[in-house]
Amino acid sequence: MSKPQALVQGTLSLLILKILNLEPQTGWAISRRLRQMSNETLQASHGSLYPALHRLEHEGWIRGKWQELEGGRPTKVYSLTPAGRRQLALERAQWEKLSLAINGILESA
Amino acid sequence: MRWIQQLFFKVRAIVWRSRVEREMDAELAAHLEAEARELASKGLDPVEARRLAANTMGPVELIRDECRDARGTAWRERLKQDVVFGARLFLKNRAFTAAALSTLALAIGSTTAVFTVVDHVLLRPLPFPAPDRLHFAVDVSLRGHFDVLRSNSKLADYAADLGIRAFNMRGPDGPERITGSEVSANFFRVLGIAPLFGRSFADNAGRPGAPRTAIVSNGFWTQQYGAARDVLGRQLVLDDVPYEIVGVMPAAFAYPSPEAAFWIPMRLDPRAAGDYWGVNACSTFARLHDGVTPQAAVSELRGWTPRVHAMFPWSMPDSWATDVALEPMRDHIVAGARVRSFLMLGAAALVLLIAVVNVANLMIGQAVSRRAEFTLRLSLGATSGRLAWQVLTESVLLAVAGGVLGTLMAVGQLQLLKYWLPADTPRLAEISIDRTILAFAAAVAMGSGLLFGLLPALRARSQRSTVPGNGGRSSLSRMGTRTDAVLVMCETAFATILLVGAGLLLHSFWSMVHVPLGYRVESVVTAELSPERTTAASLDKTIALYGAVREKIAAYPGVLNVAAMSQLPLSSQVAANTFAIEDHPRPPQAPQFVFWTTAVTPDHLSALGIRLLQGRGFAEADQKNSGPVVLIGRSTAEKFWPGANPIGRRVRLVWEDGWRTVVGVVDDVKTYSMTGPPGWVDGELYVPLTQATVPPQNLALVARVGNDPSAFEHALPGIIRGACGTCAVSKIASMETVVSGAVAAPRSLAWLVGGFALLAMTLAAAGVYGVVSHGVLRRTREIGIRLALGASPTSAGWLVMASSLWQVALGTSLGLAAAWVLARWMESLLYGVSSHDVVSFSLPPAVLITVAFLASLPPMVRAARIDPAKSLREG
Repeated sequence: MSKPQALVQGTLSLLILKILNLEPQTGWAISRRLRQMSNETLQASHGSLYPALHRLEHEGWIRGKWQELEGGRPTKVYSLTPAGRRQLALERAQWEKLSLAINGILESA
Repeated sequence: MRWIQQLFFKVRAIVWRSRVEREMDAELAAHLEAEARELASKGLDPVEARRLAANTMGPVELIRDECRDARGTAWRERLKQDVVFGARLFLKNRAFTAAALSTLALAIGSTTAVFTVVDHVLLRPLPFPAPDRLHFAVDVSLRGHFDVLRSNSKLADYAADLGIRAFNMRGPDGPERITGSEVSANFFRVLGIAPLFGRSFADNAGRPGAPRTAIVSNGFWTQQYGAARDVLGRQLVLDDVPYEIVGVMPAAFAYPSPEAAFWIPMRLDPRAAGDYWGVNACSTFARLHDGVTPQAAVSELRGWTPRVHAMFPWSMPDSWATDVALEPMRDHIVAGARVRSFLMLGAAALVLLIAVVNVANLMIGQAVSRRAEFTLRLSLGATSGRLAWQVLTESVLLAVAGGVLGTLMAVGQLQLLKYWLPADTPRLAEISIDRTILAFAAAVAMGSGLLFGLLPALRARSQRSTVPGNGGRSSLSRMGTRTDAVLVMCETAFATILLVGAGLLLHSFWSMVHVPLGYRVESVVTAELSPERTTAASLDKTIALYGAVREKIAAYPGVLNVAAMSQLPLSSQVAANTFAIEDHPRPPQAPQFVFWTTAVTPDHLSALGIRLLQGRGFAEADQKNSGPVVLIGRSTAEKFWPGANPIGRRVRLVWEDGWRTVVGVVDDVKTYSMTGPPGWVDGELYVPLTQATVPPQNLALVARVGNDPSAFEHALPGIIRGACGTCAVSKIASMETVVSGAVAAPRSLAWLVGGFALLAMTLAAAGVYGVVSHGVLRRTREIGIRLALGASPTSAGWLVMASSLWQVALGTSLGLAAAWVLARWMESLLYGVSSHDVVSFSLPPAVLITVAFLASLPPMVRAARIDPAKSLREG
């Protein structure tokens, strides 16, 4: 129940990297964008995002920074690191190769 | 680069754990707040918005756990949680904790203490450099043989010692006895230990004309010379011969015996042929040169045998020294202690296993009462694996606490053990608790924690998230019954093995102390008289001296008989001579007969109450110049002259010309040890002191005292000094003490294993009680139904008792079968008892089943008193 439904293992990190490639975001904002971008298809429980964020931070692909947002309490804002940018390109390439392959199979069968 | 960053995160996560945790909480809280604000802005009621936000968020506990997983520190967090939780739980359940901890501490403590002994005695390398190169030369026991090897071996350095021996040392109140060892000049160099200060022996030490030098032990140096540095150059007078002290050994050096107060050079003089070629007294060992295999060294050693054989000044049997061999020095030193050490370790290990089973059983009992807690945690999102880990952590926590207590206990138990162990246990003085032992105790504690935690942990894992209450009861109950049965069977099986072992040893000890000694023990006092050297060297002077001493002793009020012997019964001194027997001729090259030979005065039979069976005893008329006579033992007479009259037969010492005539037969006595003389002895005989084969170095005095022997013991040194100012007196003891000293080793072993068996039985009884009690609790509902359906309370009680007894009976049979197989290893320790002794194998089951019956009685009564109505309502 903790994994976002219909998300292939490893895809979540690709999406997070993609979202952060546009601009730094808070965890909540990332989860909102995930829902919006996928037209609410990815109805993951929001909390499941955080272990993924922590893992990506641990890998050194994203960096979290505590910031005071307008008037509110301090929030952790994540941004992509150069290593993360490379990782994004890599994962994206892999994903395209994989989906091409799967599409090929689906159409030929 | 990346690994540096990861390291940073990991370190931060570990070092600033609480900060990381705080940050994580804050992040999740911020998420909730933002989500709630967003929902509220869509027009939702703020409270409802919050609830919805929390709902979409998912279980916070789980998210935090997964975040920790992602950071790689989760296990630490969990461990800490589990440890804190476990500790709180243990503090709350004091009775459980006290029972488990005391059981563990006792078992881990005894195992550690016994292991300490075994480790030091058997497992540690000898305290010499490169100890694996040191080998004992079996069957090289003549100085000449050793001397040839020492000067000719190309593959090894040979050294030798003569064991230990007592000397007279001049003291302020007359001579004192001190023990030292005569060693070869290269003794210390070959062992690889240099003196603490001073020097070792010169290469020619012990040769004719070399200066007499001595090296003293650290203990003797401290005690006798106040650890003064100027001890070097001082004189040590031993048996009236002055030796110059040239060195002091380090405190740890205790070879060949911790009783050696000094070392002096062994005399090596080929011209003294009797000493050099005739006295089997040498312990020879070798240090192999680097790169030399034991096989190569042995074949070199064997190669020398025929050449040495040819060097004898007289002809030797062909079989001489054909069995020479090299044996690792450590194996040689610990040989006798091996079986009994492993036996003790096995006993301790069995007690530990029983303790582990008991604690596992306690933990399972706990788990039953914690079922509600576990179910609740499962429904809150904990995985069953997580619960299993928690249970396992708790058991290891318990085991660690038990281990710490046990180690403290081991310190005390070790003192007890050292006190109890036979004094001839090799390397006893070296024994202490050190880092190796602590590591062992830690390993045992952790291991037993995992062991007794495994079962409860597996059961926690199999627990499903069900509604708290009665749902899972029936299945758990079935599984519980099966586990309980296995636990009870294990416990009783282990206890049975121990009880059988203890039974065998105790029975053996019992038959040993009840064996007829052949002499009187009560009101007999013995002592060892050591005359100065010039007296001891002359038989006439020794006899004259004894005459004077005897007169003084006989004058003491209450003394009934006085006698002297060349050695006391049970003194474990070897006193064998080789004799030819007139009517038992041997081929020229075949070995003659070895006879245990004791020189005695005429009063010897009456003082010790030895029965004369045939012929006559010795008389004052048997003098040096009268016809040589001997007495023989009963079995010797039966062996050589079965059905014939042995009186008048003649025997001859191999190096003498004259025959000695058998004039009487006396009852067999236990001479050398409680199990009789060594196996290689062919017979036993006595000669009159006046016709002794060699002048005895010491005289064993034997006095039968009619009144108050202990007062006589105190007066004895004074009496003897009155007759001989230059004599040393030692080993004053009643014959009872001598006899009990001779059975010290089997007694201590029997009591130690017996103690372990008693402990095992108590633990097993406690375990059976616990299991049966839990069983009754668990089956309250079932028994209630049976009672409600008309079963009588008695039959309900018997239901409980019968299942308990069945399990015990089954466990006992398994234990008996195992003991039957294991007993054969104990054979060498048993005397007068077969290793499959009926008594030792039939008593333990009877005892255990009785104990189990008694332990099951209280729960049985409880089962019979169950109120059906109440049990059905509450159950």
